Amino acid sequence: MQVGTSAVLHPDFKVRGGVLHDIGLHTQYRLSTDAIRVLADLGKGKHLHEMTQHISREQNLRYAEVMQAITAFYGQLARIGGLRVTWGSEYHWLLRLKARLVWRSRNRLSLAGFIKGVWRAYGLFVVGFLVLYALGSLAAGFPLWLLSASMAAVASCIVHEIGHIVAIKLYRQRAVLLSHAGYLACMYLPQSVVHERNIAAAGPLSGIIFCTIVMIASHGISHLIPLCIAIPHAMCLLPVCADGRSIWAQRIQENPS
Amino acid sequence: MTIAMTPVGQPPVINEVGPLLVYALAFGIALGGASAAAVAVCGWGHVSVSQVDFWKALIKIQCK
Repeated sequence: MQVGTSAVLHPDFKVRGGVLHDIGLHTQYRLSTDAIRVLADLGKGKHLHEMTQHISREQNLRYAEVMQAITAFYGQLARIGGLRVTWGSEYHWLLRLKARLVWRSRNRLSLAGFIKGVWRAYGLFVVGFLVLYALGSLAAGFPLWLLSASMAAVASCIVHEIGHIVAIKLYRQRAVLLSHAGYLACMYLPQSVVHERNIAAAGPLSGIIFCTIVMIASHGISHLIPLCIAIPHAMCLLPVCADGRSIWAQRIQENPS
Repeated sequence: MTIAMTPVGQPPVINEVGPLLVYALAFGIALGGASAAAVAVCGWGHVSVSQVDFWKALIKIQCK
């Protein structure tokens, strides 16, 4: 039996009067007329195929065109963790697996939310690696530095995000966590350029400080390893990366209030 | 047909552990794994692992 793809809005989102309210961040999005319609259909539990067919028939548009518009809108919502999707059997199982792994989930900025986010981002990777390492150690005597290096790399990513969170908490800003396999992020509304810059810089700097401490404290692993792990964190400060863009861009104005 | 949403006011900012970082780490780990595997395959388990050993091992595997 074929089960269609369906989606529901994350509980953080409510539609009122043509506006999508993000309760988690206390922000709003203005919706186009068709977007209101799609979100209303989402609330009724309609499947993607069903919704697309209905709109294309009603507005006399090609199915593919409507499907493209709806999935692009889903993409916009997914970017901010706004959708929970059940992938239907019309997609190959490998595609469904990939979609499940890379679909952004949204958690509140709390200890429980952080643990959930970290687990989703790195849990599978860590468990998989530990199993492979254990097998490799038994079969071929894998060296300990391989385990230390991998765990240090994962820990540095977690510390990187903790840096952002601490800065967000210090500035008392509302934020949510976004995560998928291998990806962890904080989303927030900056109140000033200085806040945005400092919050963005706090992550990479925390990662670099963590690597420095590991470098000083480590006896078992080569000093080269923490140095290699610190380099990508330092690269996050460059304008080509998300953190770097926040640090260098002057796109928001100081809010005197 | 336009199905879209536009933020009212300042759009939210996302600070992430960038994909570049994750790819770099994954590459590093893969390199480490390949290094360990190469050393193990060549029966050099007792030799300390260094980049030189790694490349030597790889070359040896390629030449076999």
